Amino acid sequence: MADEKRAASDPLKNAEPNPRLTEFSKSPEPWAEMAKMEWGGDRTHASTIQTLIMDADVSQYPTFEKKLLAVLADQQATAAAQDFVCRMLRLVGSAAGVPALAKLLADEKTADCARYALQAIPGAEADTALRAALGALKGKAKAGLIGTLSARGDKEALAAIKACVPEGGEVGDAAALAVATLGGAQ
Amino acid sequence: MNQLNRRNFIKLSTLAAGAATIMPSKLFGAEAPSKQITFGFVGTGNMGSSNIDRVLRLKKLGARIVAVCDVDKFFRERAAARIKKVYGDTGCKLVSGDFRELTRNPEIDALVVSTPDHWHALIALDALRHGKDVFCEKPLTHSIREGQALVAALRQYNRVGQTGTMQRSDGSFRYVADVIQQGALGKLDHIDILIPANNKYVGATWTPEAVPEGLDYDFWIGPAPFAPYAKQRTHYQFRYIMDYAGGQTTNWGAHYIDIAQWALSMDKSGPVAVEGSGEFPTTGLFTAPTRVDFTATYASGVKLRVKTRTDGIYDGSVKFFGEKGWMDVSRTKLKASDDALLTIGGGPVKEKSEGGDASGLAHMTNFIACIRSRERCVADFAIGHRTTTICNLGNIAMQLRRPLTWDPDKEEFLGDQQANRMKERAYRAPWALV
Repeated sequence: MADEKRAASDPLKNAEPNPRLTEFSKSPEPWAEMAKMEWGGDRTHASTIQTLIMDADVSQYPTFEKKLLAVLADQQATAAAQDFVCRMLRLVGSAAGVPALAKLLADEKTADCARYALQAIPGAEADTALRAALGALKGKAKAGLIGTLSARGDKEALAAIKACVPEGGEVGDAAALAVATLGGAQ
Repeated sequence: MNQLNRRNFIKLSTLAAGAATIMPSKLFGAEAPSKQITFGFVGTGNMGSSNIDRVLRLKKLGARIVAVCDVDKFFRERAAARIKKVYGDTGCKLVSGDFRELTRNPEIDALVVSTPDHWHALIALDALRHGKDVFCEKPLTHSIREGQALVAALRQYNRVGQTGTMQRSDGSFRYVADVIQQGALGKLDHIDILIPANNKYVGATWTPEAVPEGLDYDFWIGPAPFAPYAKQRTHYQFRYIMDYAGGQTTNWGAHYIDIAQWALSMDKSGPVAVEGSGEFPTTGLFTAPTRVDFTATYASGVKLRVKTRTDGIYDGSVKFFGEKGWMDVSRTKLKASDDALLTIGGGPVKEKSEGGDASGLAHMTNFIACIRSRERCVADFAIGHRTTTICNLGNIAMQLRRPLTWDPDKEEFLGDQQANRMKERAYRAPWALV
């Protein structure tokens, strides 16, 4: 029993904390442990969080999204943790998470990870962030981004995607396919 | 060829520069040109090897393998050597590590896709867009969205698509589906499907390893999220990692759920509800369910339950229960509550084949026949998509651990954000679905 819950008449009230008892009560904090996860390491804590999120009521999604975004903001969070967080944001992410994901999207090293979440988040905020990244990304990352815009059926991005066709290579191929999908003239 | 296709082929021509040119099929000699169908194979390992064997054995039907592709050099060279040995010439001229050299090559008529599941849709789609007929291994796709895209492309480009669910070409399964469709069991009540337990295992952690020489690991991962190489991630065991496949739910479920769909005459539709309570590994390399247990309910009230079997038999089975009795069928048995149910119309007509694999050969034969006739295959992609969808519904329901309502017409969950978001995945760059 926590000391503050003891009745005034309890002889243990205000007694010196017993180190043995305080050691017993210690437990890893899954969110902090998840942020340190590495490829190949124990992913038990991430699984605990995944279960919580998948079991959650819709009303609890904003709370979980906030906790996930806090891990994304943690400079010490590992690449494996970022990957896991984005997979969870795919499930419960909203417009509130878009600014943080947009930062990841602008960096080709983390752009894929950001799209795992952003592709699933509906709404104008995500559309705008994805379109804006067209000007920042190059090469493979840009081709992947075009695939996401196309998968979302974003016809407002059509003109910008068309303009990418002449780039050729992977970007040109992705753009040509997206233009065909989004209904542009071939 | 539309403009997009021409563009891509021009690019591919550059990509393929230096690779041996495939001679037009008419120059191969033995068969009349009009009868020869040139095959390319993408994925030459486990099922790819079986499919190569089938096409080699169907030479008399005018089937000719001219190209193989595998991201693992060892596998593709082994496949090419085998093909050349059987044909006794220098056939199989294109041996590639990039599927686009096959999908965009105008000298190839038909493509057989036997890669890990996460690649099925993208390769098949590229082939359809470039005028190929496609045989694609089961499960047809890795996500529900991919299946929708594949069926749409099949129709848009007017191609032939066969799903590798070869139990559709087996006499026993065909017999059971036929007689149940005709009312032999009366009104159906429920269907029990058993699928095997996983036959491979891993520990609680794993160590990233050096990529072996000859394996293009970046291409192997392709559209899936990046993760470092580990031996057990790739050949065969990929199926136990949800980034690449759906475990035994999709591996064996694709076969046995398919028979249930067939018997229920639900090839163009599916259940209206699904719930499950499987078990998933909480750590380690594998992420697919170790114990599968889910129930899909059809609008008719029929309940389809899929469970992991615990008797160690590495096969599935499907048992139908109706008001007039039951029928139980697998690859090795056909039983019924009444022997009379086993002899309707003379009983099953089994395919025969010297050298075995009768149903596998019959399934490939059907694909070849449909390439010629332009009719739909017995396991047309639309059929494979609906079956694969139920496998995916099961995995989603088991992960979310709550009852889900499914609209089979709109192909969406009702009132469940997470479930709907699990119908598709974003791809690792540069890959795109549409």
